Amino acid sequence: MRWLITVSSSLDDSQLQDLLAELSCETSEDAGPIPLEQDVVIEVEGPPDLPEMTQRDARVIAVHPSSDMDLYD
Amino acid sequence: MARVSVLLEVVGEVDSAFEMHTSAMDSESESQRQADQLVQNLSGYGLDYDDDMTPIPLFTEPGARPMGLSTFAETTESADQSSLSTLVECSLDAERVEDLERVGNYRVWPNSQLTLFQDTYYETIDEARADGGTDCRPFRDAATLTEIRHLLGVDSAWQNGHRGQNIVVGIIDEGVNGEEYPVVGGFARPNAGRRPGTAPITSHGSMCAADVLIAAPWARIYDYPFLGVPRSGGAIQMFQAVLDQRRLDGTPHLTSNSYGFVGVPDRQRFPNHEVHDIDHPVHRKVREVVTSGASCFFAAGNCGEDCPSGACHFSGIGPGNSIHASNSLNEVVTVAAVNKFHERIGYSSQGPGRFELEKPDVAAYSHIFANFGPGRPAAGDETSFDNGTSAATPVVAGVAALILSAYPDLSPTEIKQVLIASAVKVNSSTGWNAEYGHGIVNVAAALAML
Repeated sequence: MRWLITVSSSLDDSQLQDLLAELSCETSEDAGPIPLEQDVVIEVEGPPDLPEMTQRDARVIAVHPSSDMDLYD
Repeated sequence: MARVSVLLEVVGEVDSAFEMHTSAMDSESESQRQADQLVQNLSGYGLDYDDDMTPIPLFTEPGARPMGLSTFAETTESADQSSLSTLVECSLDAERVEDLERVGNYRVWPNSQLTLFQDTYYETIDEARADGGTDCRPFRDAATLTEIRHLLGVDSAWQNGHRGQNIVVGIIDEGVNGEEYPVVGGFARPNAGRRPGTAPITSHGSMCAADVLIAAPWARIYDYPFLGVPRSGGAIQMFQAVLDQRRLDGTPHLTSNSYGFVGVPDRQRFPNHEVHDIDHPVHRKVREVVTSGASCFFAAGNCGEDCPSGACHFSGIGPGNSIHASNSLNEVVTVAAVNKFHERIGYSSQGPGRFELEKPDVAAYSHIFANFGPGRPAAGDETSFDNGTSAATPVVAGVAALILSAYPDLSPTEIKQVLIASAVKVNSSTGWNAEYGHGIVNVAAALAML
């Protein structure tokens, strides 16, 4: 399932990769981190229970679904 | 031998010219008599007098200012006047015109065919009634570009030189054809198969580009094609690209967004879905873009209750259910769809919105032969036209581009305010309405307010 995971921008690259590995999340090559105010958002493919898994992980600020949209034609 | 119609000016003073003219108006035979008398010395030129027009007195020599008529402004009858020359409408062989021009005391003027300006314009306005209605399948006839431009009221803005020049519109969609439309930049993810400007002419994004250019034909386009299926992650990436570019040079000046959701996911299972969570990262990124000075226009959606799109899930149909996610944010301009008769198109999603209740904000025209249709770039027959709130939204983005080309310092808040304040009310509404928003956008009315 695709998610948008928001983490603190204080995490460096290797800390971020460790975190994503722990959470069994994969990023696609062309989906880089997006700055959002003080944080960073990354689109990942991860387990369906990612929100529950990260509930008590201080490194993770929020997890949102990355949902499919439709063109309004 | 070709005959031409001319206005023959017979130079010579005529006393009591108004009385003479009145008598000619009252009697065809008197009119004929006066005309015959005026051209009696020109019998060799093959003139035919046109009796549709009486001889007309002129009181001024060419190049001179009219004199002696100023008393006509008074409420009492003025004295009659002497004319200096008289016009007669007649026809003659084309090759004799030069000969006639050489005869003293006569001047020959072209009797040109005139065209009634904007006949179509008035007919179109007459058909666009103010009492509303709903258009469902089979839909009524689509509109031509000319009709929509007249309905939008672009004429005076264009005549003043404002046509969207120097304004860049970002189209976040599935890609725009850059051979047909003026794509001058944009962004695609590094490994995306599609680069800006490389989409086929039949793409949804190309339709949006055509619709931006209806009001703003000199605007330019940035193309932000989603990678594959549009999704939240793709959207946030595109809005970040917009922000990156704006940081560099202030462009694009606005974005057009004709996509969204067609159902409401279960809130228990997905409390953080962007339909439910106003703090979803996509919404926050959209707010950042608006705060940076770029207006964001979003389609209301095609899940109106009268004839919803077949893609709509039952959870997302009708009033209160069909405008959600980024198109229900207060910061954006949300667009409903009407046809050229000012009827709401029955699939146009209805408010209130999920986050901001007064959604849609405005309505605009859809069902237009712009990208699709006979003679249009993507071709098609008369059943093929730009449609959906997807088409109405870039129409409004084009209107905003046109306004910005005249008033480049307007903020997104000011643009939204003027579009709302100048919108044309339809049906019984006096303020906001769940189907039309605040009314149908109109360029002339918006510019008149600025």
